[in-house]
Amino acid sequence: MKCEAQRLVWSPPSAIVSGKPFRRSFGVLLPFRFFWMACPLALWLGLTLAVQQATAQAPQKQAGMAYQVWAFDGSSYRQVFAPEQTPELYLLIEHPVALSAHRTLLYYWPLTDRYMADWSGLNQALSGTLELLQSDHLVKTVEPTSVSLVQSGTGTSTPVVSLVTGAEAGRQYAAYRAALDAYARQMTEYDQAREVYEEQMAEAMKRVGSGERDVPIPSPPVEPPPPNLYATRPISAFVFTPEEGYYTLQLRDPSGQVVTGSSRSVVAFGPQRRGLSYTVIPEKKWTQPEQSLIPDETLYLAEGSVLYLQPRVAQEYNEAYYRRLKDPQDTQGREDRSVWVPQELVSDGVVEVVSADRTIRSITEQPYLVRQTGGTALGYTITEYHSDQTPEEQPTFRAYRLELDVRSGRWTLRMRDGAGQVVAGSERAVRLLNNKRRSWLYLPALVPAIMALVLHIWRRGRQG
Amino acid sequence: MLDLAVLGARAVRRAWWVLVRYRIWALLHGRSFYVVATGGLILSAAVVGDFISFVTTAGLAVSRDPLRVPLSVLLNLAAVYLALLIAVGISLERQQGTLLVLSFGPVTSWSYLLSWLVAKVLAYLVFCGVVMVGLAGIVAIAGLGFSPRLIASMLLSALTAMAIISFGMWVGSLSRDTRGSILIFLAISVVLVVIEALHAYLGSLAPEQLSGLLLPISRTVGLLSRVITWISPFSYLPRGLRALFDNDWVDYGLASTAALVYSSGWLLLAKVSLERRGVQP
Repeated sequence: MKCEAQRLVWSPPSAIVSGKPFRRSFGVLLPFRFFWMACPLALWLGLTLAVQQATAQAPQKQAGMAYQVWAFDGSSYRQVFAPEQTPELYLLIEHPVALSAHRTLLYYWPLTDRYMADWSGLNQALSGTLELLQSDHLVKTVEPTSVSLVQSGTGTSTPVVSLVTGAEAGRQYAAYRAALDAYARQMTEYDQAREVYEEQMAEAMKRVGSGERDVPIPSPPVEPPPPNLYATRPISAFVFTPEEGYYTLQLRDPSGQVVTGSSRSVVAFGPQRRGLSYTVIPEKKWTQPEQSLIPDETLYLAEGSVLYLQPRVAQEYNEAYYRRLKDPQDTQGREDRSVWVPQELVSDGVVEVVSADRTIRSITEQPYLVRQTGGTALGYTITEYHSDQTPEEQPTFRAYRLELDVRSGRWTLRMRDGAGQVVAGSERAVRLLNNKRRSWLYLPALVPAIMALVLHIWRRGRQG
Repeated sequence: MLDLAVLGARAVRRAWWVLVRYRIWALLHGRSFYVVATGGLILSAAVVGDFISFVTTAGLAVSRDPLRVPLSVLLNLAAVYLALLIAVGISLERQQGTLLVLSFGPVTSWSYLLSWLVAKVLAYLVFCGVVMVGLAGIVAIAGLGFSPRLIASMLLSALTAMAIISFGMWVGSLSRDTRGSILIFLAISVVLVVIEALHAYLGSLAPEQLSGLLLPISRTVGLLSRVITWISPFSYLPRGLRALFDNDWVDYGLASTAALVYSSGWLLLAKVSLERRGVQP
């Protein structure tokens, strides 16, 4: 048994047997020494390589093919640059997309790790027919058409951007130009009226100053509202509405040849889930609203907090797809993650505050007006808007006002749509924090000390 | 007739379990464990207090887990403390001759190192339990919610915390005395933290600001940082915690598997170091 136990013991190390001193056995230090040697080596190597690349300050430009894409990102249209070096295009389904094909000078910009275009050096619009293929079968051909992006409701909190094609694009642009010209005329008239008003006002003040009574005070002119329409100059582009799936896209020139560098793989994707997000405007910082995108999130309030809620439709997309939709050169998005994107406002419904399955408050949407406070001090007030009281003003925003006049507690917020159904994904926990006993927060830090004391007493009791 | 090999293996197992119990017991009867837990909870209370101040000032905060930061601080603190303790403990046992005495008993190098590792991982879980009670108190006073997910996150983070603890074990097996352990541990930690901080700083600069020598430095630091993501013992716990907080079970699975493989690597290196270094001071 003794012999067996000796065999199991980790064999008395050679250091004991041979009496090899600690400092001589450098072998064990190898990983550590290697780390210290490798660090400066890697630093030097990285610096050398990086310096070599960085010295090439002027980028080499090459003529190539690029698409300018007007793609819908869930809430609006955005312009996306897709050079031939990025072989994939990600597009949202159910929304028309416009592509214009160009021959331009492309170059790699190491500072941002992106391919860029020198449009001023070369910008040749390419004509032809756009082809969409699925498994090498032609599924669609698209001819170029006139396209304009039109934004209606400009200046309001709910502008709507749409892609307008064909003759309608020209009409909308003409309407926008006409509205702009009319606005310029009205502004000129307004400026003149304003000058007259200021002169009359100065005269009236002078008369009041000289002791005259019952001086009529002139009314100021009303500033004309800016046009609530905006339209881009129509361009020639290929417009189609993608259906979910994988495609190949290519441009065939008028001579029937596929344009070099025009082929792209298209991933047309839709939302994974739909829900409801809230834009939450705290009364104390109305210019800095917060977003609550998912039901997992909690709204933390303090006593006296007043919130203005703007519910929005939200859709969940694959993170990698969505990021590449906004930027085809993105490499950060991950396909195993998702992202929630808030979209259009929801106004036909009621926001409910629920406590223990009981609705304690129902809130309807109201228009609100934000006014700067008078004087030199900073500040503003948010008041309910009444069109009969201030007909010359427009509401600043519309929202559901939430004010909880209690000191602490927990509630759930949810929304019912116009039909009275609870909107899926609209639930949010609301917690009112206790800011009165902040110094008490340090008391639980004594828990480990109390445990140590209890253990010590118990041990002493056992020993003696 | 009894099989001597079976008897020997049983003796090793019994000795291993005695060592594990002894190490946990020694830790719980010391002061440092409670001091670190108290310090961590004071920090957490300060962070929660700041959060309440922010909400009071701004009127609102939208968050999934306001306890995310204090919990990360607490768990990282626990893992680093236990790693330092294991590094110091092994070199102290060598310094005091305990290692030499143990080497003549039914203790193999594997069972010796595993007793440290298992004891410290269990101590990590005990630490989680202790601070959980404290955190529950803080949460109740503040009016924050304490979700079951946070409790699960604390317990599941033990796998990724093992990366830091096993690194400490390797440092302990490497050095002759406690001073050497502390110095090696701190030196490596400082290098890793400085590179990460530098990477974060350079990453925050706009591309236009990265001109001249900053660009190559930024690239090199970026490269080093990418390497460090895999070799740094301190990168696994935050990665695992992030995945747990985000309910990203795929990421958590990857992080914990990588941490297990990584910890096994340090365990192996520690065994080699221990056997080469010997048990004598």
